[in-house]
Amino acid sequence: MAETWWVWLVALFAISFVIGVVAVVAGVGGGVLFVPIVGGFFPFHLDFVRGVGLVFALAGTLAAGPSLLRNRLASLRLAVPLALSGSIASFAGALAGLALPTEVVQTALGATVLAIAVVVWRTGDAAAGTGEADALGTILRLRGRYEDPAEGIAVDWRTRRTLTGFAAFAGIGFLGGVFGLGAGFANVPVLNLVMAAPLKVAVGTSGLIISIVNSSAAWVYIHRGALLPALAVPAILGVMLGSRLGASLLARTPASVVRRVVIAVLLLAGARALGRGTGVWP
Amino acid sequence: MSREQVVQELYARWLGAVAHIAFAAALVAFVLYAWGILPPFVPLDALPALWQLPVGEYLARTGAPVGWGWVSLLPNADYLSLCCVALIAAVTLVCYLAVLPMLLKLGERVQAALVAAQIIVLLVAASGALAAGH
Repeated sequence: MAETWWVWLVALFAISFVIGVVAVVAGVGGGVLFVPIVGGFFPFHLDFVRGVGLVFALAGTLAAGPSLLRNRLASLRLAVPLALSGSIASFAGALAGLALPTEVVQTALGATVLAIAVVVWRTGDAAAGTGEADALGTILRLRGRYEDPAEGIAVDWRTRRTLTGFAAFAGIGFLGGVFGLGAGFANVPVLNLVMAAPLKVAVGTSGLIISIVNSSAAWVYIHRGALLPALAVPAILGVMLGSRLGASLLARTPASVVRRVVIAVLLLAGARALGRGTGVWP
Repeated sequence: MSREQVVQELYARWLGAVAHIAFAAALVAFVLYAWGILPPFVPLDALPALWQLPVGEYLARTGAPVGWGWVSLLPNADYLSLCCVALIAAVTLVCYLAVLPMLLKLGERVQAALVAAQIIVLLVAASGALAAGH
């Protein structure tokens, strides 16, 4: 038993690498795959898995941040107010998550992951939204312009339903803190479909928001002793290397196939979490 | 370059630099830990019996501290590694501190107020004032 530690750490690195590849190609955050898979099929307690899950999602988004910002695919001006709302809620969520019994968190995680599978399935072909700016969005100057090299056009955008967006990010942040997820699966539809940010800006800004929101929740896990560096560092290295490979495969891989695989994995991992939480699949 | 781009570029520069430093430090510290170059507080070969426990039980069995108590254990490889993971969690705070003066200089008062509020949230989270209890 004592010698098995490195086997599990190598396996953790390997699964983090695979999740890094798949997450980039499928356009979902890695944390949403990491927590249910590692929580369901590895021997680590969910308390530690959630702590690592937050840092896992944080590392991936921090690494991608500079190029997203320089290419104006992420908007700092848009991220700042939404991340503030999300990080306060995420901090509260992390406190709540560590206070709840494991079975309750496991069951809720399973139900949430199954719901996420439905969201990923239904929002697969979301189109960019358009609309008039609202008063709050105007005050906060939540607007911008980005040039899409693929389309060869410049897109001017502005947000609408800003208050609804704040509320949504608070809810997403709370769930992210409870379960240790990055929650990109929910950020992108809110930014794109609710607030009318163009899809590419929504994807890029979602990553930036995760990097800010998860920073506050990660401290809760650090201070509660629920972040084991022996698990965190292999996971971080795995996702960073996997994300790089995923980015290079992005143009060549049929995203629709990968998306179906992700949905299948989410359904399996969600069922596993739900089964463990309820005692049906211990 | 617009005011927004100036701030965004500054944030990107700081993010790139600080994140690279934090990731490199985490890798070096982990090598020291995994290769046994520095002694750990909790030996790696004891972890398989401990990582399956809830965090409360893990803390009780190992005597590991909560809050900022881990700083006193920093010579140990596992806590040196944790310190570097904490650096990763602090990257955003550093970037926000870097762009706040620029926002004020450019007269972006609303954004500056939001950034200042976020800095307070991150400092409260990092302080452990609300999270360190058990």
